[in-house]
Amino acid sequence: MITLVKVTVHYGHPLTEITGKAREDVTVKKGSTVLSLLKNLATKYGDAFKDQVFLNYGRDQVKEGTIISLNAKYISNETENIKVEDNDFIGIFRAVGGG
Amino acid sequence: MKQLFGYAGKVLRVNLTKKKILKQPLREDIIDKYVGCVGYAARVLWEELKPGIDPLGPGNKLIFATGPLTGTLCPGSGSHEICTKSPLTGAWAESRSGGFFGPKLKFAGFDFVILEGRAEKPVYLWVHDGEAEIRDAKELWGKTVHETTDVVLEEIGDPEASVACIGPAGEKLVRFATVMNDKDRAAARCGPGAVMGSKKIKAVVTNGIQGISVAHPEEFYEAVIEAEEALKKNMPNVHTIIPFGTIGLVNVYNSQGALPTKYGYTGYFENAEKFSGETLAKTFLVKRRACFGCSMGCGRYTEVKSGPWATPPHEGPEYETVVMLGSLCLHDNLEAIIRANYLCNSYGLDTISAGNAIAFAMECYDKGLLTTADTGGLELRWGDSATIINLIEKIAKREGIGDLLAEGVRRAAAKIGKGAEELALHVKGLEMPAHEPRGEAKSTALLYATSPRGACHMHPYWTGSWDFNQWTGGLIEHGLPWPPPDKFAETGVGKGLGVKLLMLQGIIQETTGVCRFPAFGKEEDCITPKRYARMLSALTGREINQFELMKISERVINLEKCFNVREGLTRKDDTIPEKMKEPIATGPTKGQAVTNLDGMLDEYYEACGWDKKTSIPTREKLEELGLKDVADELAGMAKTPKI
Repeated sequence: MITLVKVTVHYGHPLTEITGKAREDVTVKKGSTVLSLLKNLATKYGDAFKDQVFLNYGRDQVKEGTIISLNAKYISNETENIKVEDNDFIGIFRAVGGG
Repeated sequence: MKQLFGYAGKVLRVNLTKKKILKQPLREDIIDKYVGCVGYAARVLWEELKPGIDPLGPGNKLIFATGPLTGTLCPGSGSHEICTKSPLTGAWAESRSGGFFGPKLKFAGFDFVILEGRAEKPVYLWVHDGEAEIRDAKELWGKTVHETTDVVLEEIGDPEASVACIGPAGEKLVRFATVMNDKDRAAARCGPGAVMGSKKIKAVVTNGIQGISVAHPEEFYEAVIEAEEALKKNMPNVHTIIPFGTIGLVNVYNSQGALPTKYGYTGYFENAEKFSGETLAKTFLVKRRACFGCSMGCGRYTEVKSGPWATPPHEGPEYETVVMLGSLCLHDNLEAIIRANYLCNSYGLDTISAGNAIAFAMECYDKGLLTTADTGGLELRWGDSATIINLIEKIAKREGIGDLLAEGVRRAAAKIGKGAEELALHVKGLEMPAHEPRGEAKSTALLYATSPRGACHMHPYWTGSWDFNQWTGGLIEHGLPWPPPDKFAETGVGKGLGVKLLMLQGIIQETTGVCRFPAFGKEEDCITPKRYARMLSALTGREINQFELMKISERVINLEKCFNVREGLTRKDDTIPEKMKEPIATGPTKGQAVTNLDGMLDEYYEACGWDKKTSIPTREKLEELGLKDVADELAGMAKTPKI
C-alpha cells in the first residue's frame, strides 16, 4: 500500500508568476526525495519553471542563485539525497535584498 | 579656505533660542578622520552634547547630515541622515531617509544643518542658495505632513524645494515620531520628529542651484559607471526590488519562517500572500517611485480608490510597514494597511514602532494585562483593521491608550507592569523591526543586540545578507568568513567577526551619505568597499583605499559605542527581547530560538577589541583608532566603568 505525505511548497518571484501562486500543498509518495518533488513540479509548470530551477537539461542539478530550502534549511546541493516528510515546508526562491 | 571637492563646504548652525544663524566652514580635521555625514555628526555630538541631557530638552541638538557622495552621480545618492540623542532610547540616534532633501541641501550650499536650543514659538527654516532664514510656523502647527508640505511650498514660492517636516505626532512628542521629507520619505527610527517637536521647529525646507565640484571628473564618471554596471547584474534587485519594491520580500520571508507574526509567537503567517508585493502589483499600485539619482526605484506609489479604507495616492507601503501593521498584528487586509501607512506618514509616525506598539497592545489585551477599562472601551482584537487605524489616530494625538503607547513599548510595558516587560519586543527601547531573528539568521539577533541605536535590521548593515542570503557584500578580502556559516548556527563559526565586518561596510554608506541597498550583493554585483573608495577618491581628490575606508568605519562605530557608554549603557543593554529566546511556535522554523546570545556577544566584542565584561572599547583599541581623547573622557567619568 502506498503511503502519501503532504508538503507545503512556497515560491518566491518569479516562480510566483510562473505558478500563479505563492504557496500550495502537494501530496507525494512517502520516501520521495526533494529532487523528485521538484521534477514533478517542473512537469506540472513547464519550461519556465525548469529554466528557473534547474541548471541542466537533465534536470538533476539546481541552478546557481536558486535556493531550495527544507524547513528553512538550505539544501540546494542535496535535493537528491533528502526525503520529504509529512508536513514539511519546501521553499524555492532567489535571494532577495533589502527591506 | 581651500576648495573641498565633493562637499558643499559649509555647516549651517541655527540656535533656535537666540534666533541666531551661523554659517561655519566644514572642519577638515573631522573630514579627515570621519569622512562626513553620520561620521561627522557623531564627532560633533560627542563634542557638544553633555551626557545625561534630556533628549527633549533644549540641550539636545539635532543634525541634518549629508556626505560627500550625496547628490552626486553615485548610485543611491539621494540620502540624508538625522543624528541626535534619541528620546526613545536615550542613546545614539541616526535615522536615514531617501528622496531629494539631502541633495538639495547640498545644492543650497550646506553639508549639515545643526539645530540647537528651543524656539519660543513654532518656526520653520528656509535654507536656499547659501542663505537661511527662520520663519513663523504658527499657521503650520497642528497640520499633517502632507498639508504642511503643500502650504510651505506655496509660501516660499518654490515648488521644487524639498520639505522635511514633522506632523502632529512630532508636535505631541510621540517618542517614535518621524521627520518626513518630500511628503512620504521618512527619517523614521529613534524619534527625531519628537526632538524637532520639542524645539518647536516644524520644518526645514531647502533648495538651491549650487553644484558639487568633482576633483577628477573623468575618473569619477568611470568609477560610477563601474558601480552601475555591477548593479545591473544584481538579479535579486531585477527579480524582486525593482518589480515589487521592498514588499517583494514578503513571500520569501514567509517561506523561510522569518516573517514576524502575532508579536513574537511565530515567523509564519498563512495569509501573508494577501499583502505581498505580487498582490500589491495587481491591485493598488499606481506606479514606481525612485529617490534622487537612483537606478533601482524601490518606492511604490499606491492608492485605494474606494471602500472603508479609501486612501489618496501616496508613497508606500514598504516591507517593514506591511509586516508591522500586518502579520505582527495577525492582520491581512492590504487596503487597511495602505490606509494605516498613509496615516502614519501624515501624522509623522514610524510605521515600525507604531506597528510594534499596536501589536504589543493587542498581546497585552489578549493576556488580560490591558482591559477595556484601560482602553476607553476599545477592544484590541488581533487582526482587526479598525482597531489598528483607531490606535494610530490615538497614538499620534496622544489620546487615551494612545498616550501610553506613544511612549514606546519599553516605557509602556514598565507602566503596565504585571509581566508586560517580558512581552515587549525592543532592544535599548527601540522597537524590533520585521526581520524575525530566530527565523532569518542568528546573526540578526547579534545585530539587534549590538546596533548602536537598538533593535535595527539596517543600522549599520543588514547582516542577514551574509548568512541568510549568501552574499559577500564585497568583504571576502577583508576577512569575512566564507562560505557563510549555517544561518541557525550561533557560536564557533565566525558570527562575531562576520557581523563586525558587515557593520563596517554599512558605515561606509553612512559616512559617505548614500543609500544602503546598492551595498547588498556579491563581489560582482554590488558596490563593494573597493568601489566606494574608488568613487570617493575621484570625487574628493583625497586618495583613499577600501581598507582605510573600513578603518574610518571602525572609528565611527567605536565613537557611537562610546556615546552610548557615556550615557551609561553597558553590556547588559546589548540584549534581545526575552521572547527571542523561546522557540518559534509554527511553520518552517518551528522550534528555532536564540540559545546563546552571550556566546555570540563574546565573539563580537573580541572581534571588535572591546572588553567582554563591560562591552566597552579598550583604551588600546580607542588609541589605535585615534580616539585617545574619547578614552580619556570615559576614563574620567565617575559613573562609567573604568577603561
